[in-house]
Amino acid sequence: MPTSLAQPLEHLLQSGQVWRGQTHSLPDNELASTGYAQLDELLGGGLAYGHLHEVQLPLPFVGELQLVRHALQNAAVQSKPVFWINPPAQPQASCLSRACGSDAQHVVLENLAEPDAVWAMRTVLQANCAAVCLLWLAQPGAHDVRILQKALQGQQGLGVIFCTPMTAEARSYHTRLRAVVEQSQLRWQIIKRPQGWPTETRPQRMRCWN
Amino acid sequence: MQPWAYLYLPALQLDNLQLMHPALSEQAVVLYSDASQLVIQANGAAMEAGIQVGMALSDAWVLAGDLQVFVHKPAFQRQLLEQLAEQLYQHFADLALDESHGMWVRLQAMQRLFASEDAALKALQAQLNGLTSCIRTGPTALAAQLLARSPQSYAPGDIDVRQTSLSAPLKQKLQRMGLQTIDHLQRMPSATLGTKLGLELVQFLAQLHGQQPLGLSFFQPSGVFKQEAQLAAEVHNWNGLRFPLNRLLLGLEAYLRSRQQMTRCVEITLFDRQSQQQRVRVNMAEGEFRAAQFYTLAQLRFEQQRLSAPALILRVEVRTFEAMQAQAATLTESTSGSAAMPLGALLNVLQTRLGRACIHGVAVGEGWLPECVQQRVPPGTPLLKVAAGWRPPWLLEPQPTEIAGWQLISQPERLVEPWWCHQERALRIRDYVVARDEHGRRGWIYFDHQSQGWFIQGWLDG
Repeated sequence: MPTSLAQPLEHLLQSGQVWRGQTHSLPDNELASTGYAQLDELLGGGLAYGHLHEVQLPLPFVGELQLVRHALQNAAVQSKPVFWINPPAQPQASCLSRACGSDAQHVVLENLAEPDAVWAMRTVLQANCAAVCLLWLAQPGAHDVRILQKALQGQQGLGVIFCTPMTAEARSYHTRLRAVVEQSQLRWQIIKRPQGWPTETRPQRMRCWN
Repeated sequence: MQPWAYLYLPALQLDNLQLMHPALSEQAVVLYSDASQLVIQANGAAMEAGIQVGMALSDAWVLAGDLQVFVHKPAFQRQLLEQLAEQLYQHFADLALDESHGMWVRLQAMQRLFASEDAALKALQAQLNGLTSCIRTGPTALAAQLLARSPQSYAPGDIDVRQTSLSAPLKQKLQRMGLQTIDHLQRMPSATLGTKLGLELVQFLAQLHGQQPLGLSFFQPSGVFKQEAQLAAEVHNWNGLRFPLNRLLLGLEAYLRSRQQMTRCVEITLFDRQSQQQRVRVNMAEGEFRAAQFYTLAQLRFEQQRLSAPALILRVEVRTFEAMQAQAATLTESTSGSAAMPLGALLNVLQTRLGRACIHGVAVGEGWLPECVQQRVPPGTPLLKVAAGWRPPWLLEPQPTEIAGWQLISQPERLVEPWWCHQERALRIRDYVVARDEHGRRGWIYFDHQSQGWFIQGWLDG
């Protein structure tokens, strides 16, 4: 930079008239790893606690549970319950016990109509006693998302909504992911993330929960 | 210490009504007999307007234009008296109810607990929050009763015979003979009284002097919580129930706290004009004792449910109890500054709004078949134990599937259904494999040797 330009810039910086952007990273204990290294890297470490995240799925059972596996394990360590609202199938206790231990508490709410499911998630998030709350909802409305996001404000839980792919109109999620399955391979499109433009991961084989 | 105390409650139903609806205290309110149309109880504002007990209701209307009137219900008043006895039973062992207006308290039995008569009476008075009452002590049960019902009298002898429970013809006879007070009766030889005025008077005096027992039956607590409130007007929606329900639930909390108990079911019943009932049951996943929690749950139920008819009486009832458990609470609030609701309270809220069938927990059970290992348990129950073998994270009810759409990618695992589970007593064999579908998802499928068909029972999440 030429000296003639640097001096006025220095002056502006000192006078506080120029805002300097910088990368803001959350501590590790405020993030839950997604289990996908590249996705973690692009999201700044994983899914942030105290926020609402969206995962769009073309089909169920393509690897979405892998995203919250670390969060489920953390919940067991903290002795906090996990809520599953309208899951597409029953979470298998024997599998969860091997991943999270015998003391983990998993509460399943099923066969709820859409308004009840949203109400249930809002109530769970506001109660602030659950570590993770997972909701399966086909097409959540912008108003519902806003309500849930407000319910999580100042709380410590992790809220994740699994839905079908939808247009990228603005929603008040912290993170928006979309799974794309092509030729038995999975890649994650990041529609929204806190500190970067939309991007996507490389295709990779679907991960297996062992 | 006098051996007996009598607690006279001349306006119990009216007091209860004003307690449930404080706005009524500022208006003239009377209770009247439906049969005789006479005023039975009147509040302070009504008395100030010149209304007296025993006056015709039509006269009362003339004296106070904005008069609020309610029917006097002896059965309801008796129930209120029993509620009060339940409360007093925490402090006094021997209570005997007197119809619907009062009760005896045997102080003699409480001498070890209360040092003096004053201490016992103070404890008694402390329980009568807001009730119009007169407490008097006496050497016998009858003497205490007569004194309490004649507050202006200092000794049983001063009491006018018209204020006693003697029969009306006998009272008239005594009046004609110039025997105005009990003192006059006591001066007469009992043999003469018996000859001239009959056995009733002799027995009365014997009971007054303690020579003959009064035949009291002592109160036994029912073991259930049941309290009612009369509503000031017909209530059509939840808003009208809020205040009286809250009062009853505070009573329930006090009842449970004093007994160190909790409950999982509160039954709220509404009675309409035809005494038809509408019952709302508030079931909870976890035991609870706090009125605020009961209130929140009741509100959730009433928001879902419309009242079938306008309600006039509200009843709260609890029949099942459990021992109070210490509730785990963190000493520090969460770092975000927002305190966490206990899991039990959250489950109660969810269950009340969504129904018991919609919410459950999962746990690892006994057996080897997936459907046996997967246990549906009450919400909040932990997984209980760590399963031995590998299983996929998602479990389905077995559904038939076409094997043509699957690519097998694992070795089979054979599971045999227990022979005692089937009528044919034959071995039913399942061979489980992991297979990939056309989208690349991995499913957990099995071949059933019995039906010679393939079924899918789980997914591996990718």
